[in-house]
Amino acid sequence: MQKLITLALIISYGSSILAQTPLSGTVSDKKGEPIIGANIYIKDSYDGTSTDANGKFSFSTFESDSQSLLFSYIGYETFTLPIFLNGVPQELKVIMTEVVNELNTVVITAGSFEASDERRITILRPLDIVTTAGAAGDTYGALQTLPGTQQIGNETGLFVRGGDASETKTFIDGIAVADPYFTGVPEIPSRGRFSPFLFKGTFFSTGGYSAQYGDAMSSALVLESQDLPDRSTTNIGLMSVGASIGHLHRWKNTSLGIYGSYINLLPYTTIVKQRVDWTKAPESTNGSLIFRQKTSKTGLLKAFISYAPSNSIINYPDINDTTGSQIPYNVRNQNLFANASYKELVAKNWTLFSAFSYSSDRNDIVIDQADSIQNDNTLTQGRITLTHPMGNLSTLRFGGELQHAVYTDAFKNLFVDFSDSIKNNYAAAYAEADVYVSQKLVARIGGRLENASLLSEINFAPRTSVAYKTGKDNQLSFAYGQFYQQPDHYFSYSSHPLTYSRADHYILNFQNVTDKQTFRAEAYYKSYKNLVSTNPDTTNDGQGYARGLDLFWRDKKTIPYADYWISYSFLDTKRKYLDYPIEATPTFAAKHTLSLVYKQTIPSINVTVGTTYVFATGRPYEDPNDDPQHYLSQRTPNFHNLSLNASWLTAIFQNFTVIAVSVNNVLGFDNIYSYQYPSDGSEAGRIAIKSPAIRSYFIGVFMSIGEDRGEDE
Amino acid sequence: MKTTLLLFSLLISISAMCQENKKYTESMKRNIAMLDTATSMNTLQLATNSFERIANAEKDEWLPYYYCAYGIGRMSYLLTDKTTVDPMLDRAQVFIDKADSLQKDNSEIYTIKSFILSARIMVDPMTRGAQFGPQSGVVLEKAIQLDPENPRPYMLKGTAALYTPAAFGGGKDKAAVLLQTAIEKYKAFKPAGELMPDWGEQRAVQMLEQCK
Repeated sequence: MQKLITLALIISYGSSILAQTPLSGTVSDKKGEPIIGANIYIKDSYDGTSTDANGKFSFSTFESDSQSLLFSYIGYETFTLPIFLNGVPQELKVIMTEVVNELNTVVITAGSFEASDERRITILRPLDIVTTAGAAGDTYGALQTLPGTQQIGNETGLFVRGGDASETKTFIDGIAVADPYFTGVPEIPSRGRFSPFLFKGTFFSTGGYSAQYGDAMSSALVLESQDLPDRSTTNIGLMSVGASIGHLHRWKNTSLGIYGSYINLLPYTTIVKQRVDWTKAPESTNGSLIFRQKTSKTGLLKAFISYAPSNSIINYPDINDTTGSQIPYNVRNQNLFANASYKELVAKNWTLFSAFSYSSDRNDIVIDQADSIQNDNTLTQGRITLTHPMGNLSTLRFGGELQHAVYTDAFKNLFVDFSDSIKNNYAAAYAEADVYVSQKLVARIGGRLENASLLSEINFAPRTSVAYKTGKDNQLSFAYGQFYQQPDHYFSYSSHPLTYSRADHYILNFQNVTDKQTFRAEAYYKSYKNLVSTNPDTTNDGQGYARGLDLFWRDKKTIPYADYWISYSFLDTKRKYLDYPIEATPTFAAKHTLSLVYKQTIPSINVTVGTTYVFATGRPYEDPNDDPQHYLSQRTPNFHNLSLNASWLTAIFQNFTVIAVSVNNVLGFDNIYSYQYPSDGSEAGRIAIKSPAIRSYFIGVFMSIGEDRGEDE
Repeated sequence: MKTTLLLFSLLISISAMCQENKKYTESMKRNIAMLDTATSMNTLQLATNSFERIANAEKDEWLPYYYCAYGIGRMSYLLTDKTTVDPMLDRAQVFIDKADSLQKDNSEIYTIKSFILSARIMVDPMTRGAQFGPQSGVVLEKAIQLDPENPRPYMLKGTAALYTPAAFGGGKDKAAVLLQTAIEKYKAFKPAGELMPDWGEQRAVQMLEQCK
């Protein structure tokens, strides 16, 4: 009996009594630095330990035979070592590899500025856009504080690296936006139509961008709309120029938002002295619906529809009439923008993105009660992209897009009655691969095939980038690409068959990004071919170049609770295009531009104050008295602007409230954007083009009423 | 004879099982004590490593994963290089998701989920507060809904209120009320077992001091 018990005990505990194996050793990273606190254990057992301050460990185990020894540490790949335990002490030396992440892996950065909450290394965040002085809460206004952009006070749009406003295209959830700006009157820039709060990410490329985007020669602004919101909210805004109200409701997997706003500048233009004569100050209404549906764990459907009619009448002085008569200019606009997108993981490692959009834009312009212009443009479009990861880091992306545009234009006065309509079908296919040679070296190789029915020609645009990580926080990148753009549809009414205009970009970028500081330097060269020239005939004989240097420095570290950035752009560009008789520096290019943005938060009183100073050297203007050889050789005076803003976060009736105040051009610089000459060319009769008011002011109260206020019990 | 042999082997396996169970309980108790008193990065690391090892051996138990996530969450607050916070919390999230898959709809697990979301705010409070603050709040409400008598969600809610400006729905007065509620609930709270979560009372008292 006794023997039997002993036998049973031996059977049951046999292995553990027989052999206890001592294990010891060191754990280090690839550079040989010891890893402190790494976890070491035998799979499926309790046995193990942690490394000490020297990366050393030692423990004994009763496990035996073939086992797996695991090494784990945050930020490192878990390492599995097959081991045979037989009681013989073992000394081990283990090297662990860092997990591939954004901080230690190179990313493609040439040409791009990214503002998002998704990625951890970003240059601007969405909130930065609305708190930048001088931007007046407009995405485009904030982007003008970044290098590569021009300060153009008398035209709408973003002018990037020697390109005109039409060369920058805006995309919302992959869909090209035909009319991203409000329709205004000439010589007064308009704001962007869409609130920065609609977007969770802003990707602004000043060149060399992805093959997914086309029909833009200079720049792409890619906006990604918000996902399913966290909770239901009601928002009310009262501004010096109008009011807005919105309600967003969140169900489990669905959300629906409804927003309305009414803007009327009449009270404002009455109080603040205007240098222009508004017969009807700008008035606009906007209604929009935002829908989100989580279709599965990985699928999300987004839909957005916005309708905005606007109306304004301004009187321009008649430059050819010395008696001071005026020309009334009335513009009425109706804009509809609708898009829907759907993203889903369709198969293992295959992500499908599809988007569909319809938009229409109608203008009724009456000039001097005699000339009447009507434009009615519609754009229907769709896009599909498939993304497939290859290995650990590399990705393959391909897809296509289709656009169907219908343009209807009418021009009528006593002598002319023109009306015509044209259609254009634009199709593109693209493919792109981000190939990681190592964690330090990545190449993006891609291309885009495009065909437009109006131009009846197929082109191929290659796009490539290479980025190399030169150190822990810095990297060097290079990009090359061809970028085609269709000429404005107006030219298609003329009998000359036109082709695409084309720009080639060469970009060299260096950046150093740490937790709180960013430095970025970018040199570029762009060559333009086949620009539309209308002098003497409408052809594609225009050409040109742009070259320059953009510098950017942002620092959130040095001054407590302060954040500032400095942008500098040097631009040297010339082009022959439109009615230019010779190759000349265009009116929208200043040689030097400097912006300084400073924001200071005072946490004790929840106030943020900010200031933006912008300097730009003079821009060319046309003096008809100059001979054609000196076309656009004169320069306006230098441009200066200092803006201030302050925002106060507080609670009104326990509802989160922001009170914002801003003043543009505080010091009252009398900036001249250009000159306009009478038809006789007399210097005395010329008019300086300036902003509609020397200073502008804004005050707004924005209240957010959250619904689940569970803490109020 | 045969029966005796069978009986004996049965007895031995039962005792072995008990031994295993005792090993789990003892290891957990030792580690929980270590975690409760830990103040340094090093001690927290040792404690979470031990929990990870227990989780490795006891794959059906949710508590080792739970404590692992809680320990890592606490470690993240001690990091000076804020760029390392996210990778650390990503790991905590993996552990708490494991716990959640083993023990559905548990108030304590939701409390840790909220704790992790709040910890993400400190990477960049100015911009992340608006994003993760409300998310963390929603998860915390769920924790309260799952067990209204659990004091820990109230303690975290009070702590969040203390660090949130009054304009955003926080402030000292609001925090004091919540922490007072938490302390009352701590007094009444009896953990369902010796290994069940029972932390935070002292912290609630300290926080309440700061509200004054």
